Amino acid sequence: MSDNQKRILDMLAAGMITADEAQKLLTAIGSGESETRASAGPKRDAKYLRVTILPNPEAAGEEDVKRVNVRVPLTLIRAGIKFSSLIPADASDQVNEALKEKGINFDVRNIKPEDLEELIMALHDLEVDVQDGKEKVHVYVE
Amino acid sequence: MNCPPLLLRLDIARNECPRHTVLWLPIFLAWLILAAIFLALAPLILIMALVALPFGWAKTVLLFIPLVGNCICNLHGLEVNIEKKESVLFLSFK
Repeated sequence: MSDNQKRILDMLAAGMITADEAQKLLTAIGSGESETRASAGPKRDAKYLRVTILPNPEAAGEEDVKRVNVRVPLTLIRAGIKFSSLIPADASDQVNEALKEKGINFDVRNIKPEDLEELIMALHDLEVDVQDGKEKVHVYVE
Repeated sequence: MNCPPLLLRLDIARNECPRHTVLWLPIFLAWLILAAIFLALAPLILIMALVALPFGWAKTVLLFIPLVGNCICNLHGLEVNIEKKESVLFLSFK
């Protein structure tokens, strides 16, 4: 099992994504990995990650309705990922413990730029929707 | 390395006010000030890295500012749009 597959399962266990979304991500990562092996470069030139938070239509009518639309350049995310290489080993352990306390079983030392590329490749073909009672979060690359 | 964003566009709209405020902020001035501060602090950072070497934090101290600079240089195209019931805020790095 690859790190990415394990991470998706962790997200599923933490309730961050639904079983359907986990299945889509796993399928996409499987195809993404095979495509990565087949071709050196990405098949499309994605530049931005778009995150939208919309109020849930079922919860409409609440007083403080907020809509958020964020466009993040992928180059900025790649630059941010490089920060993880600066975290000393003892600090990584503390971060991991803090995440575990919050119910997220994730090792920050596993964050690598190559994994991000795979995730971006996977996001080319699918969009992630997370819906709770009040809001709907939509993540995709463009 | 990319050129850092030179301007920040800030749009603010309020329902009670019919006017739509658009601000173009020259953030390149902030980068110039930050660069000057970094140059002034460079010897101090070097000393801090030497002090932090036995604790394993030297790499973190030395590379932190270059990585922050790298993030700043990649801010081009970042857009944030927040709509609330009474106001709308739009922020874009140009």
